[in-house]
Amino acid sequence: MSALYLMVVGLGAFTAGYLLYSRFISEHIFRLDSEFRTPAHVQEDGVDFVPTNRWVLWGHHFTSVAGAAPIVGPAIAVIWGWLPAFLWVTLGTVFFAGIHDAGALWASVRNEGKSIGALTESVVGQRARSLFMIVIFLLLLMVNAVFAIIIAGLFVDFPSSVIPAWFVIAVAITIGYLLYRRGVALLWPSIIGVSLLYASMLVGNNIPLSLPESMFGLGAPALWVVLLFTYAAIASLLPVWLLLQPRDYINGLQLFIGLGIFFLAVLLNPPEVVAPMINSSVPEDVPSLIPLLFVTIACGACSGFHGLVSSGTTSKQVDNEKDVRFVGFLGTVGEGSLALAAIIACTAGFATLGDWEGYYTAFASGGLPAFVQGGGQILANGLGLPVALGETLLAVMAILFAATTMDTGVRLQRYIVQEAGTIYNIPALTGKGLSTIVAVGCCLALAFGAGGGGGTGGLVIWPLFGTTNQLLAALTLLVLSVFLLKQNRPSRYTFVPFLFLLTMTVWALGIQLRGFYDNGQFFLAALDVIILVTAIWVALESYSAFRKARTGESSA
Amino acid sequence: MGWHALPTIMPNTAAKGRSSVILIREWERQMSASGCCGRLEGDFLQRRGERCFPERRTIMEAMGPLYRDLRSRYGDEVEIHVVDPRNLFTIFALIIRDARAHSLSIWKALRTLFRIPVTGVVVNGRLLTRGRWPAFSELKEVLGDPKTEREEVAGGLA
Repeated sequence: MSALYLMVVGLGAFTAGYLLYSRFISEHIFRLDSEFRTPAHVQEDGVDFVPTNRWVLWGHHFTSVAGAAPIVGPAIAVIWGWLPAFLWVTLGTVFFAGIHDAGALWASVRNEGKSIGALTESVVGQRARSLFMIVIFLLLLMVNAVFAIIIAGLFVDFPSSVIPAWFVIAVAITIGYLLYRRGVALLWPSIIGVSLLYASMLVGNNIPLSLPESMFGLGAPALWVVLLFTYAAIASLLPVWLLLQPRDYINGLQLFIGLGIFFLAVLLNPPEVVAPMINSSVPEDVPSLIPLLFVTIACGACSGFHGLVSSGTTSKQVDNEKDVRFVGFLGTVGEGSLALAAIIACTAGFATLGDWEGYYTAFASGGLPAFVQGGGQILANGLGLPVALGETLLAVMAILFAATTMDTGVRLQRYIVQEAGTIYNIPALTGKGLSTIVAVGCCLALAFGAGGGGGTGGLVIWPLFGTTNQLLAALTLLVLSVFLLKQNRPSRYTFVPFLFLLTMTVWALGIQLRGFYDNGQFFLAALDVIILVTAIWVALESYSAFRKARTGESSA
Repeated sequence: MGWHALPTIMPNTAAKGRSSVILIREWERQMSASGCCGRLEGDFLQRRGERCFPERRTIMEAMGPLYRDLRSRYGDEVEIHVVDPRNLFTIFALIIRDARAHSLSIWKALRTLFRIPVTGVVVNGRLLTRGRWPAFSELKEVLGDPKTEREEVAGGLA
C-alpha cells in the first residue's frame, strides 16, 4: 500500500476532526462565547495578559509543544504493525488530545488564566495539587534519562550525526552572542546558523566519529550518556541567552524545514508501506498491544505536558474565547502531523518486510534507528538526497530536540532540588553546584538503572515515561470533567477519555511491574510502584471529586 | 500583478485605516525545552519568588508600560501585537501584511524582515527600534496624535 494513503487519510482525519468534532465540542460542551471577557482583556497588562491574534497565538502554542517525543513514541509503537499506531495517533489526536489541550485552555480562560495545577487545587482539592507536582517531578526525571539514552543510541548507530550535533553548540553560542549581546538582527544569524548546521552534516557524513567500544569499563552508549549529562549539567548552569535560547531558534526552523521536506518527499515519490498492518509475529519480549500502545505513544496522540502549555501560558493571551478551538485543537493537529510523519518513515522507508523486521527485533530497540533509516530512504527517493545525508539530517533533528530538552530538564530539576533545600532547611542544596550534581545524579541513576552498566536498552523507560505523561493527561481530564459537572454541562466527553487513560495507565503499570520484577530490574520496579501508587491516588481523588461535585449539583 | 494583489492569511485590519505596532520580545513561560516535555507547572516558580528566566522577565515587565500607554491613549486606533521572536513565520506574515496595507514596496518589507531583532518594535511594517523599546513619545511621533487628543485640540480651537 502506498504511504500516500496514510498521509492523506491521516491529514484528512485531522481536518474532519477539526471541522466536525471540535465544532461540536466548542459549541455544545464548552459553549465558547465570543462575548465572554477573557483574562487577556480583564487583566490586560502587556506583560502576561495580552489579547493576541489567533494566528500569532497558534504560532506561539505550536512552537512551544512540538518536540522530539511525537517521533519516538510512534517509532517504537509500529512494532505492533502500522494500523494500531496510525489509529491511535489519528483518533487520539481528535478525540483525546484535541479535547484535552483545548479543554485545558478553555478551563484556564474561564478561571482567570490559572495554570492547570492551580486549577487542580481549586476544582479538585489540595491533595490533587500535590499529586500534580509529584507527577511532573517524575516526568522530568524520566525525560532527561530517556532523551540521554536516545541521543546516545543515535550517536552509536549514526556516527555521522556526532559532528553536527556537537558543532551546533558552537553555532548556538555564536548566535546567542550576536543576538543578545551585539543586537544583530535575527534572520541573518538564523539563516547562517542553520546553513552551517546543514554544512556540518556534510562534514559529519564524511567524518563519522565513534567512541571506543569500551573505556573505563563502560561501553560506547554508556560513555555517551555520561558525556551528555556532563554537557547538560554545564549547559544548565549557563545563562539561557548563551545556549538554550539560540538552540531553540535553530530547532524551530529545523522542525518546519524537516516536516516540510519530509511530506514533500512523500508526495513526490510515495513510498510503499512494507510493515505489516498488524504484526502477528512480534518478537518475544514485546508486551501486549493493549494497553501498552496507549502509553507508548503519548505525545502525538495525547500528552499531559500540553496542559501545562495551554493553561497558564497560552490562556493568558486568548483574545476571543472562540479562538480556543482554533489554537487548542490545531496545536494538537500540528503535533499529530509529526507523529504521522514518524509512522510513515518507520513503516514505508524500507525495501522489504525483511529489512523492516531487521530493525524491530526487540521492543523499544528499533524505533529511532528505524525512523532515521526509513526517513532517510524516503528523502532519498523523493528528493534525490544521498541516503546517508538524509539519515544524518533526521538523526540530527531528533538529537537537537532531545538535547535542548535535556538542557532545560536538568535546569528545572535543579530548581526543584533547590526548592527542597529551602523547604527542608538544607543550605548546601540551595546553591547551584550541589543541586545540579544531585539533579544529574538522579537522572544518571535512572539511565543506568534502566539499562545496566552498558547504558543500552534504556528505552525500557519510554513506556514508563509515556504512562506518567498519560497520568498527567488523565489528571487534567479529571479536572475538566469536574469543572464541566460543576457548570452543569455534559462531562462524558472528557470523562470517558479520562477513564480510558487512567485504566490503560494502571493496566500498563501492572504489566510493566511484572516484567521488571521477572527481569530483576528492581530499580525500575520501584519507580513503577511509585507511579502506580500515584495512579491509584488519582483514581481515589477522582471518585471523591465526582461525589462532591454530584452532591453539590443535587443540593443546588 | 504587483505583490500587493497577493492574498493574505492574517486579517487585514491595518487596511481599515488603523496603524499596527508589533512589539517583539520573548515570552518567559514559553522559553522551555524546544517541546512540551521538560516544563514545570506554570505558577510553581512564582510561588518561590524566583524566576526561571529573570532576564526575559525584566524585558517583559519593562515593555508592559509601553503597551499599556499605547492601549490607553490610542485604544482601537492602533492594532498591537506582542510576538515572541521564535514565532518567526508569524512575524513574517504580520510584517508583510502591514507593509502591503501601508503601501511599502517589497524591498522595504524585506528590509524590515532582515532586520527583525530579538527585542524591538515594528510600526506599520517599518522597524522603529532594534535591541531596545522606544519611549512612548517616540512612538507617538510615528503614529501621530491619538484621536482623543486631536478632538481635544479641535474642541479647544472651536
